[in-house]
Parts: sequence; C-alpha cells; structure tokens
Amino acid sequence: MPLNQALSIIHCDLDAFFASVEQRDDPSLRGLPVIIGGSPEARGVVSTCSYEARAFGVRSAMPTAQAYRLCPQGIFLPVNMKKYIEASGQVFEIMAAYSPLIEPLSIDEAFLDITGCNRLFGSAEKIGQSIKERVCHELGLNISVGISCNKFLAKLATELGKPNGLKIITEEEAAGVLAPLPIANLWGVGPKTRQAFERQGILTIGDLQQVNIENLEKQMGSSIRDYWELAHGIDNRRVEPEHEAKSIGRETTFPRDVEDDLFLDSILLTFAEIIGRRLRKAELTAQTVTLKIRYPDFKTLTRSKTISAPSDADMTIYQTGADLFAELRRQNTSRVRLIGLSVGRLQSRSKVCQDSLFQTRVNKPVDEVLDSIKDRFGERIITRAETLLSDNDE
Amino acid sequence: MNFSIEQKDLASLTNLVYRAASNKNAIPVLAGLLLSVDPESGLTITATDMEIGMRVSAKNVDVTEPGSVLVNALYFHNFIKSLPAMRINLQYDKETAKLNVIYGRSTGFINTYRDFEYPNLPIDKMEDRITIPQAVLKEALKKTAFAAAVTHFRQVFTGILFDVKSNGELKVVASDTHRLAYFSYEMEQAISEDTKFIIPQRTANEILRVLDESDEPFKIAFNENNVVFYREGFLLMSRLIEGQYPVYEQVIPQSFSTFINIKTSTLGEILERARTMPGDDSLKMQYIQLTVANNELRINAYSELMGELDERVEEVDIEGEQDQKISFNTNYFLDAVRVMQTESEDIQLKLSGTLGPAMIQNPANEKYIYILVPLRTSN
Repeated sequence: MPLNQALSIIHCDLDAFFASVEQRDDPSLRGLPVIIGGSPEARGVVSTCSYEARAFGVRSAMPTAQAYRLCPQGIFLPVNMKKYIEASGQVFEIMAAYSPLIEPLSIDEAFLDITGCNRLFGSAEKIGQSIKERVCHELGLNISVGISCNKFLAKLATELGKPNGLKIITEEEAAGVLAPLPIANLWGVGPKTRQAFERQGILTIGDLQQVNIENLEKQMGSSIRDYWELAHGIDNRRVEPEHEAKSIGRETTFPRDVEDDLFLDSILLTFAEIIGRRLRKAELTAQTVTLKIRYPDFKTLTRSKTISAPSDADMTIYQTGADLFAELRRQNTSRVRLIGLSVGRLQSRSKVCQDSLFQTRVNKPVDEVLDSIKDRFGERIITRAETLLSDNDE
Repeated sequence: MNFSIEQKDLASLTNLVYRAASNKNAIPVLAGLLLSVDPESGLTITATDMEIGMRVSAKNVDVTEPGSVLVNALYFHNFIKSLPAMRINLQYDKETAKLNVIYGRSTGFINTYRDFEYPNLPIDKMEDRITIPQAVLKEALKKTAFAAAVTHFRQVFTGILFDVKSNGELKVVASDTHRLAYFSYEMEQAISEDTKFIIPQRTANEILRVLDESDEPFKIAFNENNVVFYREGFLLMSRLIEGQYPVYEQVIPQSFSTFINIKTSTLGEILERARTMPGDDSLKMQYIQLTVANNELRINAYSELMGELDERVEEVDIEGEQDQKISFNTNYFLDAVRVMQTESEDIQLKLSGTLGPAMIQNPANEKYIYILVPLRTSN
C-alpha cells in the first residue's frame, strides 16, 4: 500500500466563520455570544455561533429557539450570505496563491495539495503559517490549519488544533494520535456504523488498529477495510479540485406545521423540478432518492429508495419521493414541520443513452422543453400546474 | 372437519397456492390458507393477499365430515411438505381450534384462526371469456413477461398487456420502454368486442409456475378491475393494472434498411462472452457494438476495466445497407436471443439505421417480435 509520506496536504477551516465576519465588521460584538441564524422567534436553525456562544452549549444546526433558551443574552443575527461569500472568496484567493490544487469542502473549509510547492514557499508548516497570517492580517479572520500526509489526517489535525490552530500530524505520529480517539472520529462513521463497531467491542480507533482485519471483514463486510485503513492513518484519496456534490436536495421548514398531504405532495414536485434541473445542468444522474420529514416533536425520519436506472428526470424523482412519502403517511399522519427531498449516488450522465420507444409519451421531452424555456426566460417563467398549490408558501 | 388425502397430493396443492397469501401483517387472515371440504366438491384451498388470489381443488379426498378452517399459509405449507409420503388424516378440533394432522402412528397439530372472516375472491360478474391452450399461454408469457419494467413511474410498463381483438386475435405485449416483446396468436373463437387488460408481472410469473405444455384449455375472464385465469381445479385471480397502455403498434417499425441472418447459437455464445465484460462507470451498462461492412458482421464489447472482445461472426448473411455501426445493451439483446434459442436455429436481425429501433425475429415465424432501441452514444 503506497503511503503519501510527505507532509503535502493542508486542511484549512475558518473558525466560527459567519460569526467572526460579523464580529470583525462590528467591533461592539467582539467578546459577545453571537448567534447567526435569524431571530429566536422564527423557526430557523443556528448556522454558526461564536466561541463565546459555544460556551453556553449553543451549536450549529440547533433550532434558534433552543439556542435562545440556552443563551438568552446571545446576539441573534440573520444570515448575511452575500457578505460571507465575499469573505470566503478572499480566503480562497489567498489559498490559491500557494497551490492550484484546492478542493473546497464548503464556504469556509478546503483541502490544499502542496506537493511540489515547497521550493517556492518553503515547508508545509511555513505555508500553513503564512496562510494563517495573511488571512488574519488582510481579512481579520482566524483560520485553523491542519497539516499531514493525507486528507483524513490533515482534517483531523485541524479539528485537534482548533480554534486558531496550526497542527501537524506526521506519518509516524498518526497511529499514536489516532489511538485514544473514539471510533466516531473516523471519516464516514455515523451513528449506525459506530453502533456496529461497538457491538464488536471496538470503541476507540486504537481498538480498531488492534483487530485482525480479515476476521472483522468476515463479520462486518468488506467495506470495513476502509475504516481500518483510516485507523492506521492510511487514506489514499486525492485532493480533487472540482469537488463534485455528493447529493442535491432541497428542504423547507414551514412557518406553521402542515397536515395537508396534497400541499406536501406539491412541495415534493416543486423540489423534484429544482433538483432535476440542477442534475441536468450539471450533466449528472442520480440513483437514490431520499425523503426527509420532521414532525412537530422534532422526530426526523429519512427514507431512501434506489431507482432502477440512474435518472435526471423530474417525474422519476418526484414519483419516487412521492411513493416514499405515501409509505410514511400510512404509518404516521401527524402534522409535518419540515419536508425535504434529495437525490444521491450522483454519477456523470452515461456516455451511452438508452432511448425510449415511446419517446413522445414519456417525460424526457417535457423536461427538455421546460429547461429550454427556463434557459431563455428565467427559472420562474414556467412550471407544472400541480406545483402551483405550493406557491402560496413563498 | 375431517378428511384424508395423500400427503403428496396435499403438498402439491398447497405448493401451488401458498404464495398468494400475504406475507405482510396488515390483515392477519390474509396470511392464511382457507381449507374447505365437502363430499361433493372435495377439498378446496384458497389464498389471497387481495392483489392476487388462488384457489385449487381436488376430488381425491375422503371426506368424513365437511367444514372449513383457516391456517397460516407458510406454516401449513412447510409442515405438509415435510411429512412422509403416505395417506394423512386432518381433523379439526372445534374446542381447541386446532387442526390435528395424523400421519401413520404420529400426530401433530396446527393452530387455526378462530371465528375468522375470510374475504371472497372478487370474481363475480366476469363475463368475457377467452380460451387458449395452456401451452400457448405459457409460451406467450414466457416470451414477453421478462420485458416489462420492474419499476416504472408509469405503472402500465410494469405489466403485461393482453390485447384481444374481436376477430379472435390475441396479442400479448410487454415493454419497459427500451425494448418491447410482442406475441400474437389466433384464437379459435371470436369475441364480441375489442378488449384490453394489463396484468402485473407477478401474476404472469405465478401463472407460469402452474402451466405445463399440454393443450388443455385455459380460460380467462375479466372485468374492469380483475382478471381470472382458470381451468378445472385451478383458479388464479389478479388485480389488473389501471391505466391506458400506449399504442404499441405505432412503435413497431414497418420498414428496415438492413437484414442480417445469423445462427442463433453462434450469436448466443458471442453475447454470453460479451456479458463477461463489466459495465464501465462512465457507461453504467454493458453494451455491444455491431459493425456491418463488406458483407461481414463484427461484434465488439469493450470495457475500460477489463478489456476487449472483437468477434467476426461466422455464417452470416447480410442484405441491404452496409457500413453501419450500431450499439445495443448486451443483456437486452441476449434476452431476445435466449427466447429464439427455444424455437429457431436462425435469427433475423432487422435494422433501421443506427438510431432507429431494431427488430429481432425468428425468420420462419412472425408470431413473436422483439423490438430493441439501440444505444445512442453522446460523445
């Protein structure tokens, strides 16, 4: 197994990004618990909060109402996306000065591959240090930097060094750094996989390092090897400059809980149209459709279905989502607080296309016609009549 | 209830019907088999999940006391088929609600549902009847049902269309929109008016399980919502798929530019080899490319992952336009060739350009047609 031995991967993550931008622009906010995500009376969620607010237990993705209970003295600000996008662009510009190989993970987070850049800019540590300094001096923001020989370890280094850190994990240190961490720190281990590991008595990454992987594979399936490699600090994924989306989706939280199934159904069709259009623009097809429902008690259910052939068609996405919805409705007919639809297992559109015998009768031409009209006259110019039911929401 | 029957006979009866019982728990009685005996009609076993329903009966039973019980289909089937081949006696004990099974010097019992309300099969008011030999029905379904879609947002494409013309023509059609299988048969009788109905793929597969090659007639009756296939001692009811089947006649091409005759076995072997090539990530499917040039046919399968196969087809006869390259989904093509392997040494492939639908046929028989849309490469 080839190892990337050199310290060639840098992971950068801006600290409490949205809140930091607000604090930078309004000095009176500095040192105060700033919570971004709208007013506490509204029904949004916290998108970022300052470290001062985190001390009260406020976290990202928490409903703002809950954040308010935890931190009534918090300063609640709406999301000013335009401002953050501008700041993010400036940060990426600084990073781009050091390497052309940048893989953005989100608005405030990216990987850099600096292989071969050392001659120009010095060691990885020097590059990391000067990114930090420039972001701090030129933009007034703190950025945490993690450096290692691969993506997994670099991101881990950032997490361990936060806030405002600069941490290096060398290949030799990797196993030792990883060993005491809980298994959930491995990339891709969610609650389900964590439980599966725990049933095998594997609680820490160190536990996984110790196991006989052949035996474990027999019990947990061959996909377990990826985790085992990560546990040993092995990660062969490359920094991919054009990071492709893993899923495309839309969701909405209603101002009032909804029980009208027809209305919810029309929301799904609206989402399917948006998703289908984005897929076709990106020349992608999707193979799974996921429906997400949140009830007033915050119980959240997601259900996924694999479609028989990868598709980018509005009606296929809608119909699959609507089937999942109908299935959930048979079990639970309570009001709905949030509904979301997304597609996953994205793949580039096949180079070969199997046309339909009943060309004029299926929906592909409808999608094509809608797309071309939207291209010409704008997104809101045309839609399927059924979606009009959901329009009074907007 | 009290009756005796040969284990072998009872096991084969339950084997026919038990799969029609529901495996979901929504309505408990639907997981059951209804056993009824009386001296006149013998033993009747019914199972239904309301989507599909089956009823079988047999006369070769000794009925001591008529009656009926409802037992869990799967438990009963598993138990009966495991019994030794001998005459067995089944007795219902009203007090305990148990069905005692006596085989030789051994006994067992199966719990029954008490005071059950079992639904009647919705088979009333079925007037229109057509009759076809079993062997024909079997052939029709075997050659078409596979072409239906497993899932499709237009439900009709998951079903098999029976298109019955008043002059006695029967057409059985299935399509997942990319390919279409068509079987036609001249019935001996005419019917009052043209009718159409669409049966689910599962129904077709269940009928195929019970059919044999005999010429014994099978009757079909239907109304707006349901269809019944029946013969002496056997009945299968199924829900019909709602919706309008598209006009399939329009998509069957009438003229062709190139005609290719090949040995069925040769083509089958090539396709089986081509199928060993995995579908690449960028293509998502296995495919073959046919090149027609200089009175030769070449079949190529390529996989970035695995490698390439390039075959010059022997004993091929080409008429019409040459210099064409045309691509097909390997598995869709092979499905048709496998059908042809059962009936003809030669296979005729008719092309209508590189993008027009192709037709695969037995050159000596126009009863069965398979239409396949070529792949469009979008480079």
